Order: sequence, then C-alpha cells, then structure tokens
Amino acid sequence: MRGVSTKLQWDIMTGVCVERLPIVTPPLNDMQKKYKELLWTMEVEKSLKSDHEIRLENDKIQEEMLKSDSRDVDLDAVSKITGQDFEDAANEELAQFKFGSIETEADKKGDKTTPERCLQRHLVLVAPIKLGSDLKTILPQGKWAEGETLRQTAERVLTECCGPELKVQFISNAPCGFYKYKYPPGEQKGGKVGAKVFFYYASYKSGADKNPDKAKFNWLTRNELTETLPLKYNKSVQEFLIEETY
Amino acid sequence: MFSTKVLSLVKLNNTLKIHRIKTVVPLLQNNIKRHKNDLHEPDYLISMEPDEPVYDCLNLQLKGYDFALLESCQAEIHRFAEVMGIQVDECWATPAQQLKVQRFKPKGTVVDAEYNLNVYERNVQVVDVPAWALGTLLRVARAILPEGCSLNVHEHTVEHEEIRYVPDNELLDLKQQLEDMGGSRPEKKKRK
Repeated sequence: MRGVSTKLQWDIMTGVCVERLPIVTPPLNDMQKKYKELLWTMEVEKSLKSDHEIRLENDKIQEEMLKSDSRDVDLDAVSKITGQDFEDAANEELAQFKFGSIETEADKKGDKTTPERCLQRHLVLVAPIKLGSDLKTILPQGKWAEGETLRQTAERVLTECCGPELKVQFISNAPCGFYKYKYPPGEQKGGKVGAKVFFYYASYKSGADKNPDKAKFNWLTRNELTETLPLKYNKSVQEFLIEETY
Repeated sequence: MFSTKVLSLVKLNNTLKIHRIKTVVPLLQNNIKRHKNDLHEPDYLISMEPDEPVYDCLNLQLKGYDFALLESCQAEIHRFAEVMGIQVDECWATPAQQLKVQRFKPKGTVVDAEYNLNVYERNVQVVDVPAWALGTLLRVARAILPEGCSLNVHEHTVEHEEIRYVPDNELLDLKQQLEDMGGSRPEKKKRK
C-alpha cells in the first residue's frame, strides 16, 4: 500500500504570460501571397458585376452613342461625372494618403523595455525572477497560497511583480501551459522536490509596468524569447504561444 | 431594415481592430457520464466529483467592411471550432449597416469627401464550450482576424434572435388598431 510520504511533494506556482498583440498587420510570407492571389482570382471569377463596373460599361455605351451622333442622346446623363473619373480621383486620393510609420522610436533605439516596439510582432513580458539563489529572466512567476484559485494567484503575482498600473485581460480560468522543474539538491526545503508552474495567458491592454525594485522588464519577440529563456522552459512556453508566420 | 448614420471626421486606417472580450459569463454544469476506474468503487464517490463547467450558447460576431474577407474569416473560425471538438450550432448573417461618411474640411462645414460604407456582419454560434477550451478558442479567433474586421463575443440573447427576423408590419398595424379601439375583449367564460 503506497503511503503519502513516498509521493513526491511539489510546490505549485503560477506563471503569467502577458502578451501585447500586433498593432499593424504583419507582412505576408510567400505561400500566403500565392494563396491570397489564388483566392482573389477565384473571387473575381465567381462574383457578379459590381455597381461601379456596370456604370463604367454604361458610360462607354453613352460615349459610343455620342460619337456616332445617333438620336436619343440624353445630354443630362452624359454630362455627369463618369465612372472612370471617379476611379481616377479615388486612386489619387489613396496615393496622397500618408500611412503612419511602422518603425517606432523604440525600434530605432533598440529599446526593449517599452511595449511600443515591433508593431507587427507579438511581444511577451519577461522579468528577472529570483528562484532560490539565482536571478533568472523568465515570465513573472509566484507561489500559490492556500485558499485562492490559480487564477487569483496569477492576478496577484502580476500585481506584485509589475505594479497595479499594468492593465491586462485574463482570458480564462484555466491555465494554458505547464512546466515542471526540480530544485537543486541544496535547496529542497520543506520536503518539496521541485515546483510545478501553471501558465496563465493575459493580453496587454494599457499601462506601464512599474516594478518597486526598478528591475528591468523586457518585452520580447518570439525569437528573442528563444534566445533569452532557458531551453526546456522556452519549449514549454512556445507550446502555448501562437506561432508567427514570418 | 437598413439604418443610415452620418459621421464626421472618420479616419480610414488599415489596422487590426481587436474588440474587448467580456469576462465572467455564467457557467452551466454539464452532466457528463463519468466512468469508474475500479469496478468496486462506490457510486457516491463518483457523483461527488464536481461537474465540468460548460458555457451554454456563445455568439462570435464578426463585423467588417469587406464581405469576401469576412466570409472566409467566418469559415476559418468555424473550421477551427470543429477541429477543437466544439459544436457549432448555427452560422448566420444579418443585413449590412450602411454608413454615409462625410469628411469635413478642417475648421469648416464644407464637405471635403463623402464615402458610402457598408458594415457587414457574420455570426458563428458555438454551443457547449468546455471552460478549458474557451480561452484557446478566443485567442485563435482573435489571431485569425483580418484587417478591418472586429470580433465581439457574447451570450446569445432573445434580442439577437429577434434581429434576424423581418417584423410583420401588417400584424403590428392590426395590433396597434386594436389597442387604439380600446383593448381586446375579456375572454368569455366557458359554458358549462
């Protein structure tokens, strides 16, 4: 009969993944471009003529009738703005419209601490967390306390780590990822062999992350995450993050 | 059926619009069959396990300016929900909202440009979403959104159902006439 003492004891922790979603649509990769063109050709083939196309055709017919000087030419109908003129004016207006720049100031400086960088990418908040005696840069993490649900732990961990000004939206009560690690032999306190971390996903709404200790918080893209986080931890994290296509 | 609005000073931009997702939708308990691990386990132990929380009826409402794009987005979300094992009850479209937008010259009332825009709408109704799947579904739906489209997730109410039907004007007129004439007669008592 198995006793309770032979079962391994684990600390329960929650990690919070705060993600800033892309603000500008990312560029399409090659396959996406080809597929988009295919869909567009199919759409054009299958669809009926739009009002604008019918108008262009009617204008052409009116022009021909005018040139051939046949009777029943309705001058009122002809003197209106033709469809082609309207199209040209619209194209000109589009050419004059100035799009905002995709590169922000933070991009030019290489500043990683603001979420105002890399507008086309997903950014994940990463903080230096003290694990035992090491200080590692991972997602904000904290221990579960008795009597609270895991989601409440996640919210508490975030406010402790980043200050109350950071506004986020938690998506669900269920965690989205999991990571398990063992403590090094010297630090197994209270009979706990290691820790099990449950990740919660939250999307960033607004606000600045202010840490009372003034430690550096970074907003990292997927590639930078792979470089900064420890190997197996990164593998668990990438499993629940949506992949970027370019 | 179509409503027209006049807006001034509207910026046309090609950015993603991400809509707020409502929190705390009331959960319902689902009666799932629970299987015994061991034949000799007593029944009350199994019935004491908590029910898996399930969201009853959610509407994913997509709104956008380009209906070809919107329709393919709706198809993708439908496909994802089916792949995840979530039951998709119904998908429907409601008539477009026609907007007439006038851009005025700065500090004046002279109309600079006028645009006629249509805001198309498509809905995907998902039924019996398990609580652990909702987070993923919402994230995926948000990630698929093309430019110019917005997503709104809410519970299905009576108003959403009513909007889909065209009101019967004749019936409403008759009812109005009846009220004007002094209300309906009280029901006759049944003869014994």
